[in-house]
Amino acid sequence: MKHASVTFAAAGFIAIALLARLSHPGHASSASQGSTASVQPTRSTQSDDDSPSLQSGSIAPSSGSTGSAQTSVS
Amino acid sequence: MLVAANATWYAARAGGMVAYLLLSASVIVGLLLSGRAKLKHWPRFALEEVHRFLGILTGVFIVLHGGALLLDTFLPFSLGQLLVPGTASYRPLWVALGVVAAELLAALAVTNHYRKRLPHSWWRRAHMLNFAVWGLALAHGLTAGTDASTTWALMLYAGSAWIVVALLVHRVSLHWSPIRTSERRT
Repeated sequence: MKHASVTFAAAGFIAIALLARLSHPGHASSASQGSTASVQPTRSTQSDDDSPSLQSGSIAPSSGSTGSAQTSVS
Repeated sequence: MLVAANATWYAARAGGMVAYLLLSASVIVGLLLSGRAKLKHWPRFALEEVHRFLGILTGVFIVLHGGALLLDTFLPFSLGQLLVPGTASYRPLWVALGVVAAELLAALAVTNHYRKRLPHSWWRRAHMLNFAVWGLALAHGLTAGTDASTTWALMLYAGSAWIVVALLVHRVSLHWSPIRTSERRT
């Protein structure tokens, strides 16, 4: 039973990580452009910013405040 | 390459969600146990073992969730921010709910470890705080989770919450039913 619990948890972890990846706006953008490279700037441009720009109400990487074209998902 | 670069971020999100689901499963099994549910092919000792192991597994995924946040470069969490409620720069109040839930769960794990040395009534009352941990974890996931607005995440939260609340209502109704009350008087 312990093995089953661990297996279910591991499978759930992978499944949810994939769902999180799919629901990432940057992923949708990269899919439409046929390249995965466009996701990285969302993170890199924000992580390069030294100021603590994460304010209450902001949503982590998916809706980056950089205003890049990632949100133009059809 | 991209997945590897963002691995900590996905691990943090998935780790948190799996920890909540494991906690929900542990609470559900606990409610089945306390309600004296008799399941075919599932003796009580097996359910108790599953209940205990799910709690341990929840702890493992909470550590994974926190560890991934600590390593992630996008959301710069320090160890202090992960341990002290309200000090995070990202949604401090909602993150604090998760921090408090995790620390309360750790404290309850200690009481479980010393269960035989504690008065049963004391341990039982402390064990009830697991419902508070579950509620805090749910609120934390809904308010601080990046995926909380997605359909799949809402379905997972709603489904698990519905099962827990339904079993809790059933358990409370059993506790306060006239037959049970008269049984306790005799």
